[in-house]
Amino acid sequence: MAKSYDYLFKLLLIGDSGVGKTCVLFRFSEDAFNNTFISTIGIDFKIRTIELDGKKIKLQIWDTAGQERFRTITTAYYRGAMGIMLVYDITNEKSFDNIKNWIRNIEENATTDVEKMLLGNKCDAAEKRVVSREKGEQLAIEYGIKFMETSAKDSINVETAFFSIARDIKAKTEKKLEASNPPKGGHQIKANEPSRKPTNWLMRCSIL
Amino acid sequence: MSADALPTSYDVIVVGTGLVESIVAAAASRAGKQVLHMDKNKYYGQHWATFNYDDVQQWIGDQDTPLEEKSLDPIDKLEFLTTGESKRLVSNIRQEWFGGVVTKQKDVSKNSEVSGGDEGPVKESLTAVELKSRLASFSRKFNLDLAPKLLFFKGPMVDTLIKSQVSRYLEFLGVQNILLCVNGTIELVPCSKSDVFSTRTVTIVEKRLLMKLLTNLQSYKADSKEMEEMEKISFEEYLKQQNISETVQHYILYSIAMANQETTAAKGIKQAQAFLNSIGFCGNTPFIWPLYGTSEILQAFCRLSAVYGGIYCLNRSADFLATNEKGSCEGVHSNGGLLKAQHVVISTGLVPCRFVNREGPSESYQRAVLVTNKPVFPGGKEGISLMTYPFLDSSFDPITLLELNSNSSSCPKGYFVVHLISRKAKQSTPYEDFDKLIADVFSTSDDGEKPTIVYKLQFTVDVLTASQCSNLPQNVHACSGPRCLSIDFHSSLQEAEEIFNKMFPGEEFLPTPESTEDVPSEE
Repeated sequence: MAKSYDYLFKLLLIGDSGVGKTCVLFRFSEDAFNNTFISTIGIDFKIRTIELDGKKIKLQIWDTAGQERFRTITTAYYRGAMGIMLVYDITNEKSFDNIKNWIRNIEENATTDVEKMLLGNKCDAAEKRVVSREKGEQLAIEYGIKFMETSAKDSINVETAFFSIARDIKAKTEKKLEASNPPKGGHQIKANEPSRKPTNWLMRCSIL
Repeated sequence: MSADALPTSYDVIVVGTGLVESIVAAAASRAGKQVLHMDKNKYYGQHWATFNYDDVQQWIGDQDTPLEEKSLDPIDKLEFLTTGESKRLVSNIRQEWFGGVVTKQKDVSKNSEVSGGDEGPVKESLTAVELKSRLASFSRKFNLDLAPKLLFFKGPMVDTLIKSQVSRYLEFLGVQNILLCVNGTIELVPCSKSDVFSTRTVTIVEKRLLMKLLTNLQSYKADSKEMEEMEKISFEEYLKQQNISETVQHYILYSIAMANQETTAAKGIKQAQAFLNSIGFCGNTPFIWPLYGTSEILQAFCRLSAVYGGIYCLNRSADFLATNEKGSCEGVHSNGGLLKAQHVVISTGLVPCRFVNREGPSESYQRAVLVTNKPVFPGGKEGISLMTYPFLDSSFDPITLLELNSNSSSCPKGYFVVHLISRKAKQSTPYEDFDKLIADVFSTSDDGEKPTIVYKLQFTVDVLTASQCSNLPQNVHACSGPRCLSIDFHSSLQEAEEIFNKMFPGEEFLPTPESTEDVPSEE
């Protein structure tokens, strides 16, 4: 069966509780906004397929499932992640200060060459802003990563941000493929897989 | 939103993030119950944890710190029972480093994108001291399991993972080689049709007998009269009656049934059936290994719980169980406050000592974690190997050896991680059986085919099982630690399901989520 896409990228959202990670995810995956989320319940991941330079790219974007609340993100969450969106809230200084801790967490758990991007969310709430754009830019430069201010509510830059990180991961992946050094991994087990019938060799032993 | 305020009332508080606890947490959240899952450690898994090299050092240090004594006077007719170990469950920890020839590592932090030209591995000889710092510098490339376990491809754990869709959080690798080491010789055990064809250790006539016997083993029905008869003899005796050579008897007894001399024929047949039923799906062995280690499995259940609203709190202990005058549990006392719950699910190791019978049937086992430089069986396929090392002329139980390589994400390229598991023999010097295996399978100098050990960690684990806890309040449920003597997860899964059914009779255990996004497949 032909694949319906050329690449599959696993992306993560990371950042303090309440910065709007789930809203960013919903804006990008469903172009919807709902500010009644109390905290993330029942959201595992979302999928959206985009097209870049004629290639179909399936983005599988994982949410923290609320496990960021007491810093209990599983090490398993980071496995196989190719890109991470670090999100803070421009109206919440602490969420910005904590980005450093999240980066440390990423360094401890994700692969070394994971693509990272910094997002200052809620940029629609200009009147409540406490983190300046410059501060965000500065931090991103410090870590050598890209930066954007976004608003999930007003749909500002969310699309652009995901396209940007996808483009960077695509470039990296293609470089690796050229170097014929494709990443290795395991396999997932699934129900209803066109599962090859087990060769019930015990029943067919008469040929011996 | 205030991030730090914990709700004070729950349907279930789960104390400890071992596998049984994590499955129960997932099942309860999935059934719509409000769950708080806490662990005093900073990491998931307790005795089920998977550590990098630095974490192992930290863990060893932790085992040496004295256990703190705490107490709390009764308040408002509530009695507070101290949770926690009265005695460490892990003992006899030893670690050693040795010199050896290892694969030189490229600097992965730089130039990782331009690793095009592969010049092949470069070897270098290092002293024990150099190796010690080398391992530390690759700390994160190691995923070392305290309780390594495999899954039968057609076993109940895989069924549960698929049904609950917890499988979407996990990746697996097939085990490539089933090995048996008898009298110092390692042989590949033929498990599939093609294996039986190609094996040179079995004659043509015997191949026919082996096939016939394996077919026969699968035909026994549970609860049948035939099986009843099989309770009366040992599996070893049963095999001796089968007109097959000693070699083939060993294959079936030790590798396929993973049994020992004491195993009854009924149990041996059942175990052989589990093995044979899982063959042919994922390579030529029945087993799959969770990529990155055993702890991934419990973390995946924790994620499911979190997705369905479970609150996670590591680095926080439940200091006391609060019981009322009726002897029923009202919740846990943590960080100076009472957290109420209808049910408390707790690791056996944390059950207040008045309920624990330390003298009960014990399941202690010995463990070794070795880092080596070559596979134990170079003639096998590249990948994970499971080897059994029986003692034919002494009273030691067979040792289970699991070898992982860099494909299983357990170690850097060019290294191997070898896990040894055996029952703790009464009155024997610790690790005496391991020493015998090591002398047979490994080498101390790097001249021959045999792999060299560069790092050796050994420890003994006293597993407390739920059956050793008695007179617990009826709404407190104890969860056994890892039962390492069986290679799969079956007993833990069963225990978790029993606890769930006891708490919420009539509710479905880990049903399939209604509608969710599909994990796209790579193929």
